[in-house]
Amino acid sequence: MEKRDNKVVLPLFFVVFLFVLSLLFPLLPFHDPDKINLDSLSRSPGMEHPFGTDSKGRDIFARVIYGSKISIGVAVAAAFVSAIIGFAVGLTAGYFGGAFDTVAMLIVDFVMSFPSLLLAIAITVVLPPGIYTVMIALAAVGWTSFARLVRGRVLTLKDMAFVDAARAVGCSDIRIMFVHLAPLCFQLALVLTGIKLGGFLITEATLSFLGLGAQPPTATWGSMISANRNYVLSAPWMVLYPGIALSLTAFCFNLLGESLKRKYGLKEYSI
Amino acid sequence: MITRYIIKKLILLVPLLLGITFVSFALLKALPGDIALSLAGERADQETIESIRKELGADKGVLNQYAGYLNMLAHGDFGRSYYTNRDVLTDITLKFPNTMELAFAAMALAIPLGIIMGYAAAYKSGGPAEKIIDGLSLAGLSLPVFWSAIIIMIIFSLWLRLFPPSGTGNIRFLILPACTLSIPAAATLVRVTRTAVADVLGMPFITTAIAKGLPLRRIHIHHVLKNAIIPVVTIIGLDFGSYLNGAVVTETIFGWDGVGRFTMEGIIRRDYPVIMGCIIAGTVVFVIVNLFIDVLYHYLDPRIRLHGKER
Amino acid sequence: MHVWRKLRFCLSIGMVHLFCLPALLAGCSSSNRIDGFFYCRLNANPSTLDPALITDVAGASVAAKLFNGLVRLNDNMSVSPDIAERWQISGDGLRYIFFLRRQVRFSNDREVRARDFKASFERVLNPRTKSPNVWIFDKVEGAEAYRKGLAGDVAGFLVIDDYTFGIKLKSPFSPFLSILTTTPAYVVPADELSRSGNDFLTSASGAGGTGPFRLKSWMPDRELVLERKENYFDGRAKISGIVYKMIPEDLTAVTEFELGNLDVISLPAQAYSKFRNDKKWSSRIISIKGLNTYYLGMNTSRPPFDNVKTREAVACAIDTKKILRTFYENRGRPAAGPVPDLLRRWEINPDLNNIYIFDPQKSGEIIKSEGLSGMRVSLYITADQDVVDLAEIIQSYLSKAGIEVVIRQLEWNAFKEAVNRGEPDLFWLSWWADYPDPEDFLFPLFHSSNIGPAGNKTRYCNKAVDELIERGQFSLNKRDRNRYYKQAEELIIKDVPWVSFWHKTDFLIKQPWVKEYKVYPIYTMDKGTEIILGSAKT
Repeated sequence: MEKRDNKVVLPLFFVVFLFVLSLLFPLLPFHDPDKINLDSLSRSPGMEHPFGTDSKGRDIFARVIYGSKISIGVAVAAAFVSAIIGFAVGLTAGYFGGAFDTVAMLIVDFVMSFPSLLLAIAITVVLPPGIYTVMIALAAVGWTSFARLVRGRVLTLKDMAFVDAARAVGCSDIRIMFVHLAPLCFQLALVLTGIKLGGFLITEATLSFLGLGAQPPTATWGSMISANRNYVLSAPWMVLYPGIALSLTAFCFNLLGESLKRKYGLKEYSI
Repeated sequence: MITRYIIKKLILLVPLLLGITFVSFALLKALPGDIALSLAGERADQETIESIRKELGADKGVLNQYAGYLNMLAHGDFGRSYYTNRDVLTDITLKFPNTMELAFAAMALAIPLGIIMGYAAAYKSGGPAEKIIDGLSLAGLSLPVFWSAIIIMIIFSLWLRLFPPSGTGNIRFLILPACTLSIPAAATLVRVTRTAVADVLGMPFITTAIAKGLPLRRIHIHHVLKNAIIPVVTIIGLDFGSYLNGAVVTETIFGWDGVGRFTMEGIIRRDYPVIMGCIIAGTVVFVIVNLFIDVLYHYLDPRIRLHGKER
Repeated sequence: MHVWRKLRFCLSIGMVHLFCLPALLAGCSSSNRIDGFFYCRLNANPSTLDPALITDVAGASVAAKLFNGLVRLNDNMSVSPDIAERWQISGDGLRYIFFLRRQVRFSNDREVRARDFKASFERVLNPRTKSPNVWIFDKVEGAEAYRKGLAGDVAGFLVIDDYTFGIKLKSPFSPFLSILTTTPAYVVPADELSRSGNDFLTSASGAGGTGPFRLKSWMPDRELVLERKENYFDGRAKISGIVYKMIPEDLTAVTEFELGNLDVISLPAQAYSKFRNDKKWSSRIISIKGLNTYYLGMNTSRPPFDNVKTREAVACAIDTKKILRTFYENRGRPAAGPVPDLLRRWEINPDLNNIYIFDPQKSGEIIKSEGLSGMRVSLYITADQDVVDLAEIIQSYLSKAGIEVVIRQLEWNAFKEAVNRGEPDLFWLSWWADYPDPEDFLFPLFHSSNIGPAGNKTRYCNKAVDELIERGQFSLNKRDRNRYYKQAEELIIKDVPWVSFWHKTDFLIKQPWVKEYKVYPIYTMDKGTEIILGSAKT
């Protein structure tokens, strides 16, 4: 028991800490992440700049911390938006069944037949570039697993006695769905959110790497790696630290998802 | 039974393809300007733009335009690259085999590695091996492909001088990108295999078999592996998309001339016919692979094979 | 237990094999290089090798090795004989007569005659070719009539006899001879082309030019291979061929170079300091002062930059010299005006030399006095990383003066279209010399008739400047010409339609075994004939 809890708490703590740090950023004695300083270009890590500076003299440590706001923020926001959309669709499809369910599942199958990144690219390329577009793309690709999962659970639940009882008492469908069935699916959705967070983070970073995400001078880890990748031979710190931050955060998210999954007994391949 | 299933799935393929092309059409329409321009590019001459406009029926309603677009696609006209003015489908058919080669090489690396390590983790459950493998697989999932590609190129090509950093061709050029691409897939496979095997190992019929005194090797292969393989095969299919996804960045960094790199160049240049063409091509392949896996899955699961019922 | 042992055994066998593999392949980190071939890099696949259609530097530099024209530029950047061994220009500057060499052959061994030049040049003007390079011949008499379909050929292109070719211009045009050194003016086997279609030029079997190399194979997006022609009229090349590898990623190109798979590369900005500071490599860096100007253009056709005061404020707000020194690592020469230092044959009035010196305070005051504090302007750039970095630096400087800059990245063609339409307030662009004449940096860029795609992207319109440029074009006397150009440039500097940043210097690096390699300021000059490769590397 103790060990498993640790696995949830520690990574959660790290990520929250990072995020809060980025939010508190203006108050902390760090360098301005956007401040260009032509006199200290491409400095290697040292006292003044613990992670070094980039090609425009901006402090990388500050940019890594500050960038976590967008990277983590987008991943979490997209996860919640997908969860909400998928939850709603899965709930109604599972409950009402019939034609609605068939159509909804057809749409789910359809979206899932695209390789996720390609679909995300298709969306971000057409809409104006920026973090909101990335969020839309992530949500559009990610909601389907939620829909499937919740629908599956609802299908099992809706034949149970308590639902008949509620109906007998005169509860409306809406009431049954939202008051009785929904709460029983929250746990499931929460676990799935935890599992998918890591993927969202990396997809956002990949889209930023491709130039489809946040625009300059906004710092996200993906765009930092992309912008500085040609310097990796001469100034590796520019790519190393954002990469480590990204992998570490993704690792924490994945660890979180893992523990949640194990705690609530979801199988690896049932999604 | 199985043939009926295949036929049913093939029939379902048609609306799926229609849907994919419709998405592409909708996105092309969403671009500013008229769709003929989006397909031909502003550098094309008036003649080409006019002929595309006529083919699409750009003066008629949206549905007509969609039909026209489908017609174009059916004739293999995916438009011309804005940048090179070459036919998009021609380039895609030239480059696709390379991407498939890369994907299969990555699979050839990921599948054995993933299954063996996953199996070991399940079998040695509770021991240090399991923890290490667990950690490694989680790390593998957390590495973004574009970062690992850069790091792998530097370590194995520049520092150790083992393989060339870029190029398309024989196996020397294939190894580094294939390894890079196989990491996330192997990680997923390790985890899925571990769970599936652990599940089967815990089942009563295994205990019975051991109690019966069957040779261990027979138990592992005929009972455990055969049952555990079913969900694993499904995941291999579902995860095939990760090869297509990862290929976009991997091919670019390693200079592997495939559809992934073509997509990336299309993105950088906002070369919409190229982007849409690659997405359609990638999705069609993904759908076909999934179909194949689906059929394989149903073939392997004796419950379905014998009784023709879906799970 | 039993199975686990078996598995472990399989695993270890597998591991052994895995480790042997690198040993087997270890020597193979270098590609199979063809002996005697020179390996270099292209950033992107050339869109075409047809001289009439080429607009990109990649295509033009390859074409220089496949074709020749009437004249070319020599090492002193003056016009010298190519296929024409000598020429005469009439006193009024309207008639040019070229006397062609004998025995210059296309790849199919057919000899070049005067009518080939007429056919090649008319092909460029022919509306069916859809050449974007029509401008080079628009001063020729009869060109317009031909383009409009009113005449069957161009009256100004005269085949006097088999080896004598004449050109008559509508009006005197001093840079015309220099223009004949550019890519669209190469001679192509036009007869064969009209018969077998355009592929004759670029197919591996055809590739009909007269140049020192012929096209051996072309795998688009991968590599392009040229092989030497033994009977090139100007002496055969010293290398057996050239392999151009298509490598869009800078990181990959530098790695390939370090591994010895490329012989020469242009040093990307990010790798510059690394090689400069490495004792092993620093002596192998060669540089060439480019004939170009990089500038921040301002849209003078509408507010806020239709007002010269706002433009002055922008000029004073940016410390271009510091940027050149630090961010750009001195990889260029500071630009005093739009004409490159190497082409400027006059002295700029010393008062104008530092008229807009870096003065953030003055800049802020001007902006405030104009009531424009906090105004938002758009800065359009192409999507290259270096340009993005620079744009952010400019953005930072201008924000200190009270101007808020919104950066918009566009891909190259979309960028060109947007700038040509006059969409952005600010844009970052460069102009590279097509031919070594200061007129190339004045007429296309600042003459009011060239607003838009022709080159005048700042939409600058100044009658006095127009007249001075035209007078320079007409005058046949070099001293007069320079006088007019000097006055024109000084007016332009004062008017500040753009902030000239620098003239970029190109840095290349070559392998120790490259014995002879020359860099040229203009790509058409590089025919690849003097490159020498030493014995194979260790």
